[in-house]
Amino acid sequence: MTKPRIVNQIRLLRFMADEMTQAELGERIGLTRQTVAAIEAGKYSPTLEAAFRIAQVFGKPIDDVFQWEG
Amino acid sequence: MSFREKIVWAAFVTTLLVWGGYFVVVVLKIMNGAGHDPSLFWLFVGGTVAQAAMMAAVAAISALMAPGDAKAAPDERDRLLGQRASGVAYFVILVAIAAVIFWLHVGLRGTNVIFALIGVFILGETVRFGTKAIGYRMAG
Repeated sequence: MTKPRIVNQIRLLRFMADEMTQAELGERIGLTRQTVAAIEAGKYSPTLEAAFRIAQVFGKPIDDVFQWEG
Repeated sequence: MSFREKIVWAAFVTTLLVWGGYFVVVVLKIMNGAGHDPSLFWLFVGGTVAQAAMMAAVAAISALMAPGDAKAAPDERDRLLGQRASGVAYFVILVAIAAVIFWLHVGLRGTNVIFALIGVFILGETVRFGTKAIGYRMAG
């Protein structure tokens, strides 16, 4: 399996946000817990809208949440 | 495993079991010259009811174990996996239909045509469920 080209800091950001759970994050952005887990693990790339929603939850620019390593 | 993934796996496994068994019986009957046996109709009905019952049981048990999960609407990943699976299944159905059309020109006749078309449908559904199930595993 090739290394994912988009990496993210969601797990760290969740921890820093009062240890927000994957389910709580999912509920806030309209995704299931499993999808959030897949995004964190780099197995699924969210849509642009979902990526912006995630960044908005943490109050960070999208570049601080997702990084391109292509 | 999410509720939706459990349902997809259940659909995949029950389709293989129920309709795999059905077509084993159909092929054996045809090979023995009994392709017009009326019991095959009741076997078809029974298979449909059996699969529906199994799916209902899996859905009910899964919903009881994780009610929040069961109530959640499909999200973008669910929809994407569904679209990909439908695309793959559509291609398989096209190829299978082409094969049936060719077979019609080299001897497929009577009720065997019906069995072939049922087979195409079941093959398409099996591919759709299987592709979606594998997609869930690969995409986390």
